[in-house]
Amino acid sequence: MVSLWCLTFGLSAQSKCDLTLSGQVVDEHDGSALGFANVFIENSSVGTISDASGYYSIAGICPGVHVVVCSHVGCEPVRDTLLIEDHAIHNFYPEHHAELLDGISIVESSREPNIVSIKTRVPMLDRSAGKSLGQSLEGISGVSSLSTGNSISKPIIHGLHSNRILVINNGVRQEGQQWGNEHAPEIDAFIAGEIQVYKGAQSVRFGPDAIGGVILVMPKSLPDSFGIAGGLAGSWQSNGLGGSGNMYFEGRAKKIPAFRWRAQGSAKRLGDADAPEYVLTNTGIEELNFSLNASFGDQKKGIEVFYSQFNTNLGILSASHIGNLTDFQRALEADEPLVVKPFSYAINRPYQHVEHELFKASAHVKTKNDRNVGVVYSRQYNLREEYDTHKGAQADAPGLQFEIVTHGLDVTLENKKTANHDWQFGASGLIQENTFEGRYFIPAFRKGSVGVFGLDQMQINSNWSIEFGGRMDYVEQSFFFYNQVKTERRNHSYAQPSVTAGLIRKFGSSWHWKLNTANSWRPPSANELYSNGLHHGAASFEIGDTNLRKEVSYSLNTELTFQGEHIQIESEAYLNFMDGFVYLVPEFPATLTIRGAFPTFSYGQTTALLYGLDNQIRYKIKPWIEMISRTSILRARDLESGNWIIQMPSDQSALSIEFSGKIQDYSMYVAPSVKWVNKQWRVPSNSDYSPPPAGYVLANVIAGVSRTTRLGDTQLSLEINNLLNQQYRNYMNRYRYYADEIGRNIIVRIAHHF
Amino acid sequence: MKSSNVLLFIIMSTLVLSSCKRDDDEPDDPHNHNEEELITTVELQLHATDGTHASAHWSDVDGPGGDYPIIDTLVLDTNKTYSLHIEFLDESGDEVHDLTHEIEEEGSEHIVCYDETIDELSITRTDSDGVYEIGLTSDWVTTNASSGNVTISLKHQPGVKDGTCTPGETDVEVVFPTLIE
Repeated sequence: MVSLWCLTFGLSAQSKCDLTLSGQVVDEHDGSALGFANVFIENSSVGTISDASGYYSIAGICPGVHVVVCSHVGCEPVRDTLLIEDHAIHNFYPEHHAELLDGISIVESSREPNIVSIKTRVPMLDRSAGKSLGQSLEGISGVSSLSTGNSISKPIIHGLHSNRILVINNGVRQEGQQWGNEHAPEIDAFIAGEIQVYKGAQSVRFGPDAIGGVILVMPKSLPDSFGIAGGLAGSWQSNGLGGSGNMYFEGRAKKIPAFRWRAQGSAKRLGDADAPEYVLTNTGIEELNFSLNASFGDQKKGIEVFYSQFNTNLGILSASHIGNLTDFQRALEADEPLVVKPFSYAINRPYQHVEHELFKASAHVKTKNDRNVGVVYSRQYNLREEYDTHKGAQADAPGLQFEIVTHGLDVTLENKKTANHDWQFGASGLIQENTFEGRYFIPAFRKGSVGVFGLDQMQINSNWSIEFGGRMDYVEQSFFFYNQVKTERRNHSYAQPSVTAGLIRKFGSSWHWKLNTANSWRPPSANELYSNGLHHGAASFEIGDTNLRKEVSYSLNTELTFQGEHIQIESEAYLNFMDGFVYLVPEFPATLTIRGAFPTFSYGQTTALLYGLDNQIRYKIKPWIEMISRTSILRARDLESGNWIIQMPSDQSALSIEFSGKIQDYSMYVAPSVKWVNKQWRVPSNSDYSPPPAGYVLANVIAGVSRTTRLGDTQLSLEINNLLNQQYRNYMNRYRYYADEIGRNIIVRIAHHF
Repeated sequence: MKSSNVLLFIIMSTLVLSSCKRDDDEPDDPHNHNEEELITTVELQLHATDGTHASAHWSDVDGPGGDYPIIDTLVLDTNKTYSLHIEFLDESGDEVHDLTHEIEEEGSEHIVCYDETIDELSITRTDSDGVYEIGLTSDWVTTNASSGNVTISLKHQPGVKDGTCTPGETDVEVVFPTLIE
């Protein structure tokens, strides 16, 4: 698989072979210098070994495009394609056991025991260009998505989503309106140079809400090589007759080596998607995003600013916006959605308009005894406008609008590998303000929180290492209610510690065993406390409970991995005991309104137990054939009633066989795959409008070719999803009541990176 | 670092900073610039050809939830033909807003549907948006004494109106207990 990315180079007959390439070899994960790493030009005898501080210098390089390979004991070799026209500086960031998965490589970090992280390469070169963040994570075992049609998708880790998952975008907690099932993360997937998924509770490092796990979205680091580089990527798909495009430029001037920058912009436009038998009317997407990033400084000290904007319009399936239970019953009984119109790019009511803006300024200083001090300030602005089918008094105004502004400050002190200790201390603070206009769903609120934490990872000997940490958080929320005469204010405050402890045991060079136990928590969210109203599209009346306690989780994760010459096995088992698990309880009788009767739900709390298994096997049958199988099993029980918990992903498996090879300068691959999703029959009785849909098997295929020349890397890929144009419905899609999933989708992607 | 570089950096940061979006609302000042029309009341006025009159109303002044709605029983005479005017009102504020004429103006996006469970009563819409009926006026013909329910619904059907009650979103769905005596 790695061979896929081994790009060829043209040995150009240049006369002056007197250039030098120098830089440092740094551990991808903890930033420590890697001494005695091999650095050499591929297919040549030119090379060197880095010194004890990781620095290297290679002389006698001819101008041209070179593949420079850096390898280090215990790390997968890094191959970087560089255009060297002058003396150049380039740093290498090797990582442990890098493997590729759907254009995404699984990285097992030695730093934190229960990390299973994934890494995408340069996003324009990967296989998921044009997919949303939620969709691009679906290939990871234990991660699935909760979707609202094809346009809105949010990640689920081990059965948990929304407020129980934390998304860290560029080192900053993503703060929008995460509570909503139909509120997708407001992040441009093209920004991600690397995505890491931490499965299991992670409150100690990242703060409240990280009960199910954490998704770290990191832009690729600013360029090391001098000059201006950039890239273009585009995708086009048959289902929705549209596509996306991304462009970026980055640079570092030789005159000001401390200054690095990048500017990036992307756009997306899709029309109505197609189910096999009908058009899914009003499911188009429009997206327009950009980001600017600049840093000044070096490894020892530096400052960085980052700014990004995400803007989108998301069509809501016309047939899913219903007025009352009678409409809903009618929609359920119909074989086809009740509104089907010819294909169109237009996004009409109902739709969502979402904007997200992130500004981040950070500084870091390395102290004399090699400790890192980092400070990050961030400001986020999030606007969510929901346009109902109905127009209000002002025809262009949304029916409901939220604006949320968040200021965050994080300070961390890190110590890298001294006396086998790797510790980290930090403090973080957050101030947030939410306002709304339009019909009431959740109140305006202010939120403030502070937290302090400490983590230590200790290498006991070559076989054992342990990790432990603790954190204390204080969260205060004030909610504002306006009742014509005066504003009423209600305060809720929470203080809660979190702890974590873990160990890694190595058995020889092939076997690894990890065990981690942690607790995590979150305060109840605004909708759980104070929602009181009709949930459009869900045809239900939701009532909050102001007496909800905090939700606390105690989890145990264990993972066994085997890394052999041809075979790699990763098996993970987890157990998550949740005290005060917030869920919706059906209430009787239904609420009678002028629109008819609505089933009514109120928020309640129970004790829940979630447990499951994730398993992945990769088998290299031949150097050019690899088989990958993934299986996820999850059980979720309400321990008080003995019922299953609603809306949990069912058991699923995926199998793919990847053929890869190289003909002359062209690297190519073909990977057919099948995915099986079982029917979710583990559901509570009498709490859903219709039974879960049947299980299904989907066939997909992806093929690609890439080539590197003096002009840069070029990649071309063709993907066909739902190859057999199968009709099916997915339990985890909120549109399952109204319409089938999208049918066959042919996606063409092209990327050029120079 | 040269001072010009620092300057460049500051300029860039300022540019970025000044492009930030601001929100102007304080959380303790919630207001609603765009109140959706809220229908709280459905009023039926029936005039028979012989001059007799019947009326009934269904109202939920405090909106969904809260107090239970007030629902009148509609009492009609046997063997009569009534012509009905239906009115949709917003009585949630200090003033009463009549939303009926707005529905009439947007007649091509609305339809009022009558569903009676009484064999002794037949209802037909008598108005039109030019293509399809609207149903703000209708004829009610009674025969023998009976009782049952009449379900009246107002459907919002922008771009999908086809003369039936199937497509669109239901804005109103109320049930009037009805007595023919």
